[in-house]
Amino acid sequence: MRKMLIAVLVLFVGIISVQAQNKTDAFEFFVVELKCPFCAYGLEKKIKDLDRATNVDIDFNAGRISFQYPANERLSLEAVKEQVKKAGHLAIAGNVVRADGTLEALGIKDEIYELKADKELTVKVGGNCAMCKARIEKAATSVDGVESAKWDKETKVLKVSLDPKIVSSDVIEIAIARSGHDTEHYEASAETYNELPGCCQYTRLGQKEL
Amino acid sequence: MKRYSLLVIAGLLLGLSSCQEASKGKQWVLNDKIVLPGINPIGLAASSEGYWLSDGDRNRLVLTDRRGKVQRTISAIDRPMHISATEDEIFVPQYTKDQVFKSSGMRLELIDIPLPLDAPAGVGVYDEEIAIADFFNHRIVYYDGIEWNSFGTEGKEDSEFYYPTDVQITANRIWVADTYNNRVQVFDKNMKLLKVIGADAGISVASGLFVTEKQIFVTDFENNRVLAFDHQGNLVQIIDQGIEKPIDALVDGDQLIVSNYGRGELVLYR
Repeated sequence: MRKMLIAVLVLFVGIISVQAQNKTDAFEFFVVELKCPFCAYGLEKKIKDLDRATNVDIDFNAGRISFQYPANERLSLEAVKEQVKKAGHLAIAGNVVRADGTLEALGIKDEIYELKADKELTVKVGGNCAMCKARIEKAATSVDGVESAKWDKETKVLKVSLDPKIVSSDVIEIAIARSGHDTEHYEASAETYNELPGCCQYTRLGQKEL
Repeated sequence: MKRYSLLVIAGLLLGLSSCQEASKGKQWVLNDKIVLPGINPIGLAASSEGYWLSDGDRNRLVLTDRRGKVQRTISAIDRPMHISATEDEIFVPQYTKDQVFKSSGMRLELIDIPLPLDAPAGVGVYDEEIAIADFFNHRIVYYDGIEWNSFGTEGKEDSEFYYPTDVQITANRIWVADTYNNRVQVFDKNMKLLKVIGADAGISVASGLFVTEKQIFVTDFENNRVLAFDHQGNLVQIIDQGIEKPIDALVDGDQLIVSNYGRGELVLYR
């Protein structure tokens, strides 16, 4: 009887252990300058070099890479940031949702972006009309961590309320630039700009093209 | 006398003009395009059966006939990039697996390389020689038919590389697309630098190259154009019609073919 109890206990511990091993943390990083497939898949490679990364998914255009990693390994955001650096890129944002539901965000704001204490981003965005306003605000609010966005047609200023633990100003500006609108720090590609309707083809702000 | 002098001057001017035109060499003109549904071609190589395309986005190689009709697909290849073909074999780098294999028919054979690769981005083959653009190691790994060597280190000076992605071997030269230095570097078979090409041509991401007897074609990825140089490094033509995110080029017979990664097509010039 005693042996049976021990066997059951061992089995129970084994099952718990396997379950723990099967649990994964979900990582998401954003980087700048994924110019070509060599850069994009180079980043993918450096993440895969972490050995136990699974479901590695890269979105070339959004500059986003996501993957899962065994929770029991407790892979740190800093370690991932280092892999991104080895791939020749700068991480502009990163977070991990741990298997237990807790969220951690990379503390890189002091290095490359500034956030206002009131969790609001104020940035100039190029645009002309009501269609521009709808497009800019939609691009901003489609980013995880953005609570609201309002663009003023007259002043060309966009005000965004955001959760700084989840998103950086760069990620928001990049999303807006990818919709065809120049921001203070990022320029929309000529191709995307040219695809805007005639009434939306505003005067360019003259930043570095994405 | 005055009339005679005018005729002489006119003749001289005509002669000069035709000399300048001749120095430009052959001018490539857009002729056709082949749309490749569901394929974003990266590497491009010609074989007797047609064109091999590496579709890195979908982890496969695709063989098409010369009109772009798919003949065969080899799947489950990790991010194949710049490829090279001989009469009966194709050489393929697996970018995210640090391997290079060759294939004749459906059989894949890994090439045993004694030097560690970190993201092989391109392979060039000439007789028994093999050269590999070793992307993250910023170097070229070169097999001269007897032994393996490597040359280049990370940097922006002459003989240094910054993320090379493509390489081609010809009878006496090794040509390297020094991608993020936005130039081509040319070496002899002793791995000694002979020439730098295109450094002042405003290239933004020299993603691929192809060398013929007379010309060097460099795909200028970010600027949506292909630059044609002569072997002295003189720019002889800027080809930009129909091009979006070009990544490789190939001359097959009297045609220049450019793989238009951005549009999923091949663009043909004569």
